[in-house]
Order: sequence, then C-alpha cells, then structure tokens
Amino acid sequence: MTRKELHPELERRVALLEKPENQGEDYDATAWAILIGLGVVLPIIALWLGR
Amino acid sequence: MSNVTEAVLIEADKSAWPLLKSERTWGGWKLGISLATAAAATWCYIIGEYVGYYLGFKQGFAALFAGSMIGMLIVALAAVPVAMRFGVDSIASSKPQFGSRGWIIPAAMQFVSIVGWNSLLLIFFAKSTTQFLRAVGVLGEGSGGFLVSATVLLASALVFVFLLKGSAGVDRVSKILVAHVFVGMWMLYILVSQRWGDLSTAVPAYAATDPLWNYTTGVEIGIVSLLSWWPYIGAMVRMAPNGRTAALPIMAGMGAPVPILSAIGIAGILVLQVSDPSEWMRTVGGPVYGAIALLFVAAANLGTAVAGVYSSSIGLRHFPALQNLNWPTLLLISIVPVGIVGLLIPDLFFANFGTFLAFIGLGFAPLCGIQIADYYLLRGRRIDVRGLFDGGTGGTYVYWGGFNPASIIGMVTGVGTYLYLLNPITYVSRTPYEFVTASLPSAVVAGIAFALVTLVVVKPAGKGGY
Repeated sequence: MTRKELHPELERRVALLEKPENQGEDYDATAWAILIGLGVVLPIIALWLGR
Repeated sequence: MSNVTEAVLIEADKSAWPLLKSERTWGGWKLGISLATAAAATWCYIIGEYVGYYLGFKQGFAALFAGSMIGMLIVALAAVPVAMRFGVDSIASSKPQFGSRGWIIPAAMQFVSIVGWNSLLLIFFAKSTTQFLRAVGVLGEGSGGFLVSATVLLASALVFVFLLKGSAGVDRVSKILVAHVFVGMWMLYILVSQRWGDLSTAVPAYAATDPLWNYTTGVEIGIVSLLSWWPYIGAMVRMAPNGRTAALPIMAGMGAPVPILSAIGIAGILVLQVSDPSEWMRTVGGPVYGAIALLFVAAANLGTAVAGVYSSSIGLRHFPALQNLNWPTLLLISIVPVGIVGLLIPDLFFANFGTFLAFIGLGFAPLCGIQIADYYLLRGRRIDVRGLFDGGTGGTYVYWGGFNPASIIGMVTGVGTYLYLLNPITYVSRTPYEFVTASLPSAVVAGIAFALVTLVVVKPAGKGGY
C-alpha cells in the first residue's frame, strides 16, 4: 500500500492540520443551542402558528 | 504579510487545499453577509410562487419558514463540521463517506446544481430586464428576444471579472449587494400594505383537497430549497475559524432570508398571479418602483451567481486533471455552461423549475443523511485530514477502488424512499408523505442504510479509518 505524494504546500498544510491545536473548532454548546433553537424549536413554533 | 505568504494564501484561496487557522479570518458578520448574499436571490420568488400554488399567505409563509430552517439545519450538520474544522469545501467534506474517488458523485451533483441555479438566476434577470424595457416603451411588444441572450452573457462576464481574485471577489460583491435584502423587505411591505385585503382572501390556484397535504408540500419545498445550499456552504464557512462563529450566520444569514424573501413570491402569485417583483412592483407603484425592483433583481442574482461560481470552481479543483489549471480557465468551465443554457434553452429550463427542485431533494437529502450518520454516529467526529487529500492505495478513504459501497447503497435507498413518497415530476404522493415529507425520510433511510452496511461490511474489512 502506498500513500500519494502531495504537493509540497499541500503537504505542509495537511501536516499542520493533523495537530488538533491547528484545526478549527467544531460546534460548541452555544452553537448547538443556536442550531437547535433556530432549526428545531423555531420551525415547530412556525408550524403551530401557521396551522 | 510578506509577498511570498500572500501569494501562497491567494493560491490556497483558489484551490481546494485546506485553509489554515491563520487564514480563516472571517468573523460572524462577514460570514453572515456573504451567506445572506449567496442565499437571497430571485430564486426566492420562484420558490414562493410554488408555495403560493398550494397555500395562502400566512400558511405558506409558516410552512416555508419551518421547512427552510429545517433544511438549513440538515446542511449545517452534514457538510459544515468538517469544512469548519479543516478549512475545506463541501466536496472534501464528503470524501470520508464517498471515498477517494466516490466523491465524484457529490461533485457531479454540486456542478449540476450550481449550473442549474445560476442559469435560473441569470435567465430570470434577463427576462425581468426585457419585460421592464417593454413596459416603459424602450422595446416594442414582441421585440427584444436578443436581450435575454445578451443579458445572460453580460452577467456571466461580470461574474468572471469579480472572481478573478478568488474569494476576495465574493467578499467585495457581498459588501455592496447585501443591501438588496433590505430592498426586498421594503418591496414586501409595499405589497402587503397596499394589497392586504386581496392577500388575506386569495385562494391558491392548485391547492389539493387535503389541507395537510398542501401544508406538508409547503414544508417540503422549504426543505429541498435549503438543501441546495450544500454545494455553496463549505467554500464559505471554511473562511470562519470555529463553529460558534458560524452557527448563527448559517441559520440566520443563510437560512432565514430565503423564506422571508420568498414571501414576496407567495404574495405576488396570490394577488397578482406573477411572482417577478419587477413586474408587479410596476403594477403596484408605477415604472419607478419597477426600476427599483429590477435593480434589486440584478443585485440579488449577481451576488448569488458570484458565490455559486466560486464554490463550483473550488469543487472542480478536486479533479486531478483540473488541479493545476489556471484560475481564469477554471472559472470559465463553471460559467460557460450557464451561458449556454441561457442562450439555447432559457424558456425550457425556466418552465421546469419544479422538477429541478425535486432533483435537489432527491440527491442532497440522502447525501446529508449519510454525512450526518457517519460523522456523529459512526466516526465520533474523528476525521483523518490527510485521507481527504491522499488518493493513493494506502489512503484512509480509498475503500474499494476509491468507492465506498455503503454510500452508494445509502444513496440508492434514499433516492428510492424519496421516489416512493413523492413523484418529483407530477407531485403525486404516497402516505405517509403528508405526515413526514419526502426529503426527511429519504435522509433518515439513507443514513440508516449507510450505517448498516458500514457496520456489517466496511468496518469489519478494516476500511475507512473507523
């Protein structure tokens, strides 16, 4: 099995991103509250108001 | 910033390479404005028009709003987490599920979807321009057919010029064109305030006898419309550094403007039997209002087309043959099909918008279901960033020949579920469509099928980095 050789700049980027501290952050508790509030609770309210 | 660093950043911005944390500088406002500019286009009027065929204003708005926010949530859970963590676009985010070659499936869907939406936008703008010029006497009745083609070509050329500098073009255009969202609110206010009596009593033209079916169809149209943001969203959220920065702009900036502006289409089709605001604004307020609406249509469509062509071009970079192609040529590959559709089959394409919407639901609902099941349930959010770019035989996401059978089976079962519940051409449905829509079960069934095949076949075979 062989790994593909990446473009040097792409290799540099991937190597950096393999370290968790260089990655972006996933949704945190505040983000989840926003997602659930606007993506679940608000649609339920809208459907109830429009029924 | 040194010239060398800046050159590398510009190169990364025009490639499918992952962006580093230091390069992802968009804050919440900037991301929200860009997402709003991408989402709020004249497709909203056509989306609203379709809802207005089945529902009155209040019910139509409620159903469309609910469906849109649900659709936005699905996309936010599917493509965004990987895009945000590793600074990659939507296509790269699908590689863990579809494989180091199987990503061609979502890439083809992305390309067709974005070409379709952009064709619709530019044809809409061209038709609005022609009708307006006829109405104010610049063109005679029956003349000006050439103007549709000429306007499509001009708009395509503008998009090309805006994007020559990569995502900076998206940002620059967004800053100017976001104003059109507020002009849209004003147009809705004009129609609602002047014609509320007609609006509140208007009867939708094609409403079914079952009120629940009509309501569910309004929700379904909202969901599938917002699922079509899947191709766009990765290339834009990868500019933001974390989930907290992105969550509100995604839901409020990209999700909410669509149903709000679609209310213009619902109101227009119910009261004046036409959803194009440049036509009904002239009816309601005369040629000056018509001209303002036309400017709005131009601004809205241009902003969205810029974002769409950028996302499409970044997606094309994943094809090995296009990885080293110069940026202007790549842009042309994304734009030329739009110009061809606008020149050759504008009316045919415009008349089949409903079928196009259904295609979106058919394809993107199962895709999102698969991504959500994989990222949250099967992988526990663990992604091998090297595997996203390593297509060699030792790559994490090579599976069998680059394809993951679990995703193919997931897609087939998801599409089959959708087709069983709702015929995308005739809109004839089967129970339990009226209770659950077609796209939500399609996403769920696809996710379950994907998970089962993964647990029974893929994981025991030691494939996919589980």
